[in-house]
Amino acid sequence: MTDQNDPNEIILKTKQYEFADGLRDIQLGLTFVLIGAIWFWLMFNPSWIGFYIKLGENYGAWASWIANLLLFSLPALVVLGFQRLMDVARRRWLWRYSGMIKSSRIMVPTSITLLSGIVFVVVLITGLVLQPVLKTGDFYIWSLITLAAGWSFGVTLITFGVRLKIARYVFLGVLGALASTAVLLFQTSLVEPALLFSLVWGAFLLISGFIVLKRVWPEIKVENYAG
Amino acid sequence: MPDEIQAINDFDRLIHEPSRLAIMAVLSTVESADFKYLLHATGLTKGNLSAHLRKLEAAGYLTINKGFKGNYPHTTCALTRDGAKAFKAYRGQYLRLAKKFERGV
Repeated sequence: MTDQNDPNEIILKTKQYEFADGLRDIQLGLTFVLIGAIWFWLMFNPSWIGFYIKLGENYGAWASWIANLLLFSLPALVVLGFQRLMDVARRRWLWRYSGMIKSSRIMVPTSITLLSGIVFVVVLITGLVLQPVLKTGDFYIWSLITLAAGWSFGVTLITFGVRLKIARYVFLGVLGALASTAVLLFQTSLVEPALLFSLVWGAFLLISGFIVLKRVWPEIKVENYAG
Repeated sequence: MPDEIQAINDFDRLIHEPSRLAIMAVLSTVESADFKYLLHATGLTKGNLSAHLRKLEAAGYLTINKGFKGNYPHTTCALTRDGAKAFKAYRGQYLRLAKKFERGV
């Protein structure tokens, strides 16, 4: 039976297609980096707080609320903007010869989401149970939450990669989860763990996305679905 | 008639045909796919693909949306709710039968 007559193979390849050009990795990586950047800026550049208070004094509380909302919706706006860019790049170049698909809204199966949720809770509970016997800093709980988020995201990537047979996601998941463990070294502030988390995942995803994109771009068509 | 033979008889003939099964398999995993992608994924010729799409559309299993992207015609296809249901049922039947065969060997 050829690939094109095997429904399971067709389903797998169609699911892989969405991730075969690396643009999804770049989109997610950008989101992580942007969240990290906003976090960093808020912590180290308190001018925003002054601006925020001034807005409230001059125009009322609603103005500062809107400004805040805009700041925190920036990552969402970037994701949406990048989505438009992706559509154009795919239509004009990447998917020009191989055709367009519109992926399902929910790309990660519920079972994987559930599993990553369980990992998050288990890491959190284990950390809390171990707290009395560990030498912990003032912001241990915060580091623990960041660690749990890192491992949970890592497990999501690994299981997603295994299910879709995309080796780079398995590799990224393991690497990212291991790197996320480093947040336990920073238990004395709110900034470092969150920053490390966003920058580690952001950098890994961006690097992975650009490597895949560079590989498929000269061909101007996506053939190696497993990326 | 033995159960297995009856089970094969009960298959949705419209989906059981390999080319249409391939089309349904693609569309079951996405919101929509364009004609070019379906050509690429199924390996059918343009004429063949068109004919199969029309049959599936006539059965109410998919919708065909003909439009333009810039100056070029662009056709997209998507499964209807009935189509998704029929494909799910077909897959279930097929897997059950495959298991029965496996047990028999």
